[in-house]
Amino acid sequence: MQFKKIFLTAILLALFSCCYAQTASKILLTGRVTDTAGTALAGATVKLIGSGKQTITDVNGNFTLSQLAPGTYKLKVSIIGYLVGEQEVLLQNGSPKQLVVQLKERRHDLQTVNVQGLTVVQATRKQPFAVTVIDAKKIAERDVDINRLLDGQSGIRVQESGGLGSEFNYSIHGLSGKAVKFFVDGIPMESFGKSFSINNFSANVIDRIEVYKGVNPVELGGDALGGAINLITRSDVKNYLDLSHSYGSFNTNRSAISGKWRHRSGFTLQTNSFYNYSDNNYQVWGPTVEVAGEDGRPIPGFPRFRRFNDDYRSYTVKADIGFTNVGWADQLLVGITKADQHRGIQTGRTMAYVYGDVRYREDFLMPSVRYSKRGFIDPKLNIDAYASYNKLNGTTIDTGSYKYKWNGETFDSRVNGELGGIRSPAKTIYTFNDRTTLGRLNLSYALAQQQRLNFNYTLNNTSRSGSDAISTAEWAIPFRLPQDMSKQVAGLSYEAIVLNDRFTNTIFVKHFSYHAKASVYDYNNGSQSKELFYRDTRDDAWGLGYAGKFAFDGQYLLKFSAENTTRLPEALELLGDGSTILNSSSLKPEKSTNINLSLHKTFGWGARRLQASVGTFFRNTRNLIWLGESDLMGTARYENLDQVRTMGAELELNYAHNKWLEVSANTTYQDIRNRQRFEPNGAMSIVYNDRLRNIPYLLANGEIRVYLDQALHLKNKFTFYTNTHFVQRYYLGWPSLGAADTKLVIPTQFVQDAGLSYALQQSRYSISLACRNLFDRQVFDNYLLQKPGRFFSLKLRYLIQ
Amino acid sequence: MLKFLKRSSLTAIAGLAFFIAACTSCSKDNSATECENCNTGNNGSGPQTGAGAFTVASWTADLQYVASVPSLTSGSLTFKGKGLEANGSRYIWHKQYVYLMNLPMKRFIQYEMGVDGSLKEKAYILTDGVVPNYFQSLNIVNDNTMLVLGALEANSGTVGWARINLTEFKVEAKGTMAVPYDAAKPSVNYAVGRGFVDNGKFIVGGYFYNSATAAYDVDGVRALVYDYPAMTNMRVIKTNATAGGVGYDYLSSLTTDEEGNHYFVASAGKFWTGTGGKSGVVRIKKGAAEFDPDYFLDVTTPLGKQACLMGINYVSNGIAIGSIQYEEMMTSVRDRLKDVGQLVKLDLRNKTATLINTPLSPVAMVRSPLVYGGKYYTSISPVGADAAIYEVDPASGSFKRGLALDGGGSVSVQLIAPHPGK
Repeated sequence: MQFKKIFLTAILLALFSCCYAQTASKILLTGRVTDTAGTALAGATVKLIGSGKQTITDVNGNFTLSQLAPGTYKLKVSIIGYLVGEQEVLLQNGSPKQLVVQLKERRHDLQTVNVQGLTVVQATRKQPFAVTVIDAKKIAERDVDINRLLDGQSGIRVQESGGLGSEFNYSIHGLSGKAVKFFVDGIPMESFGKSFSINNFSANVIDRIEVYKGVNPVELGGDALGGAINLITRSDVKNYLDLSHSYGSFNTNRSAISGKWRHRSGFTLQTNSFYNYSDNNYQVWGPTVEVAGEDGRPIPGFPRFRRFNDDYRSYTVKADIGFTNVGWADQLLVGITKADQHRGIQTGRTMAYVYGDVRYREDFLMPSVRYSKRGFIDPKLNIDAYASYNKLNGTTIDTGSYKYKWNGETFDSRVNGELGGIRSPAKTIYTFNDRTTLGRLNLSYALAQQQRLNFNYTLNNTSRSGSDAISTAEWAIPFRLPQDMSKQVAGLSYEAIVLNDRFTNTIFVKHFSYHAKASVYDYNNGSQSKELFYRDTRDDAWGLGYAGKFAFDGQYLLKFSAENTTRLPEALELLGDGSTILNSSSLKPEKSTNINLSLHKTFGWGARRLQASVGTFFRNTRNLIWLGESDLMGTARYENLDQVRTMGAELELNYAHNKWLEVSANTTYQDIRNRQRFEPNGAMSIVYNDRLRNIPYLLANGEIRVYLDQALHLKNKFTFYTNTHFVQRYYLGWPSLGAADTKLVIPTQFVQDAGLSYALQQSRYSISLACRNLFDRQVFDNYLLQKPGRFFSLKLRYLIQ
Repeated sequence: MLKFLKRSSLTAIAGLAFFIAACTSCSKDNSATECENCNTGNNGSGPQTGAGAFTVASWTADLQYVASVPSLTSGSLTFKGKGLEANGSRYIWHKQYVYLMNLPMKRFIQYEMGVDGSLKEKAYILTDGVVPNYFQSLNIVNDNTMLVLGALEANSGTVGWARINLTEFKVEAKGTMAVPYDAAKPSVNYAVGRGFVDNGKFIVGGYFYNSATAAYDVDGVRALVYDYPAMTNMRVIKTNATAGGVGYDYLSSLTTDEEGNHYFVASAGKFWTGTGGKSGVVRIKKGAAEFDPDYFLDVTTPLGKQACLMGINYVSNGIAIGSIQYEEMMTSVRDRLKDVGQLVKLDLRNKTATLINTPLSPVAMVRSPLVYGGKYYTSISPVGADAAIYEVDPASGSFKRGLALDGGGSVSVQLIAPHPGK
């Protein structure tokens, strides 16, 4: 606790001392290099003619030249694929200079654009880590669902339990659940609740999405073990306002507003906000969607029923105020995030458990402050500091007195709440109140031109209290006591680029520690009945990793990364949710050895380009944390699975034909084996070395994008796309057990989407039409939990720049 | 007048029909021993000789599997690549059928055991038609009728019931019945157990649990009596022979002898429906609707180690085989899945209990052992050792290993049932 206070004090001191620190230096020239669309250009050479100073822009297009004498200079910016930019610069004492340089694309030089002219997206892809980057600007016009978008990437699987706002689970190279961490602008989202969640973001408030598979850079912080998804929101250089609204099937409405206004003094206002609503009243049918006749037998024919308690509403308002791109700060922004969610819960673990009155609501409020500066105190030192304090309240409302049938009718007999599976039900209106302090400090120091040190520290401290005025359920007893959890992750990395930029090496070390005080209602030292007591859990671990890439003669790129890492239990896993997930005070941290190896090659034939990559991955995970079997279809708790080993491979192809056609395809095969030798009761496991159950092993995706405006030489942007997802069927239970033809399966998915978008007046206005699940197939990600069928939507967008 | 005649004649016809039905079925209603070729007890009944195969249901690695084997005394059974993935929770067998409560689908499924060893799903009933969740207590009350019970609102005195016609496999009657409830103690919950029909009464066991104190609510040994088939006029009967619950719902906790006397397991363990007192057997004589005040077979005292009687299966000549778990070896109820159980020979007539020294195992958790051909069969699956079906000779108390079970202690057998003979 003492360390935490010191850390937070240090951040605050850093924030307020920054401007003083700058007064001692000579004139500083900072700026950003972008293309005409505002996309940052990494790797551009920036020369200040006459000063003898030059530098290269970083992955965000930013540059800094320091220790400059007053005078008039010519600034020259060059990068292959773009026309050279030149402009006069007047430097005066006491007035640091901030520039934005826009470069025009060199039309006749298209064939070499991919060689040197790196956008941020391209530069991120070139990192030695196994990373996929989605350029969200390209799809800003689409009515896109982020889960669906990421599900189409190689090695990633997103399982959803229903429509908009439903529970979802990400899996990257076979590691899933909380092993996959989400970040927004580099800040871990794990304590942000369900309202401020990745799938609620609209595409046009996002700049890009980075997906790190298995091995994660130190800069991200956190304790991502299976992978990390970093969602970068828009931070355009120019002032802009982007409004959008979409309307779709099942009365689905999604609105978003993104904007930035910056005064020449640097004073900045910006927002990225969104609203989502859906009735989610799509049709379901088949086994478990049945209604009994008087004789108890099901009414034949599997009639279709509409979901009737699955409506979802959420909004997030995120606003920042402060200064950007001024001499003493790249950004000093004070922000406020308010999010809210209210939804119905239609089913339990399968659709046989129909709920008509169960609701969940949540509200989230978070003030935050962020300061970043390149050349902080020392020109070679960059800082990015963040601190926030959030309040998250979640309430599960289960006060119904009736059980529902799929036709919406109730049974004659009364019940005492609907949740709780088949165990004695008990009405509940449990509210948890989380108070989370989150701090993150990232320092980057350039030891030399091609060597860099990076230090990252993240602190996450959650205190939970809970109350339930009506519940008599035994499992709810421990939730009434306060519980605490504190996590700290520190990392240090060293990067060296050698052999004429062909060989990049990054080594890193991380330290993880956590402390939890969880309440337990259990047998204690042989007591006859259960007792309520606290269990104190502490643990810490070290992690070590390496990431490297080597370019062979500019033709092939070989990437290798390996990490021995740890993931600490999250609040949900350790403290439960108060309704269906119990707390699990004895959870041990998850540990894994992750290795990635991939080879990348770009082929070019005139204006045609094919990028191919093939990769393989290995994971050896101990104490895997997963949600155990539910107790009589009601409550469940997270458990450790002793050892899991994953091996797999993936292939990805991206083809571009001139500027009018793009085709991409990927496939992933993963073999995930249970290496737990003993059952919890000590018996030898009969499923040792069996493929892990309820996880898909063969995935494939493909997409075709046709830029009709390029093909037909139209003035306005006109795009058509279609894509397909394939997931081979997989077993709910252990594959080796039971006769194959009687086994319970999650059936094969083969789903197609398509859409058209049309933009005019340089994308000022756009309209797009989309259809998901084109052929209205019955789709399941989880056993007997049907997802929506065909979904149409229309999106309108208005952009002022 | 016409209306009166019509009503009278309808009443007469209904009465006659009821009389005929009662005459033809009362022998089966009142005593399982009068059910031709039936096993005794409520955990299953069917042919006693000439079985072409046996069905074994097991919990294995979180899911449940059901497979058939040609013999219980030799060979081996693996669920690797074999068996129906059944997701069962409650099991019972009767004649050539196995019935299983599938929780994820909320279906009560009827499987047919073929002469050739086959096992096929035949039909299912949706439990939603009777109770919101599931059939907790399954009771064969005559050759063609099963009475199922399931909690509706456990804390406020109501239980759902349904009478299932097994020939057509459909619900022929359903309703609710009252169970004890004290509004002053809303946290005390009655859990319905196993029951039997005799002399126009349905008598059912169960236990009381207080969620506020997290302990069993014990007041002697109590059972509930109803008029059958109306399921009305609930009455609590009680004996002070010991203090605990009787007729635990998913164990073989109720059995009947040749004379039609009914024996309930009374579990008084502190981890199992009691407070740590003496566990044993209580009796309700044929045709009676009260506990036999003079009858209690104490199992805990002669076996020691705080032995708690869990299950009972009647064989013949006053001899039954029971299962026990030693609470002295347990620190919580979760330890019941460890090596804490053995078998016991029960002489119901002479009220004696003799240990059958089988290897320690979680044998008390085998929900439905089998009595077949005068022998008793159950699964002994010690943690970390080889598992097998054991055959026990009730006369001598000797036992021998039979069918080997692949998976050792990770296989938890729930039911053993004979297929019809060729």
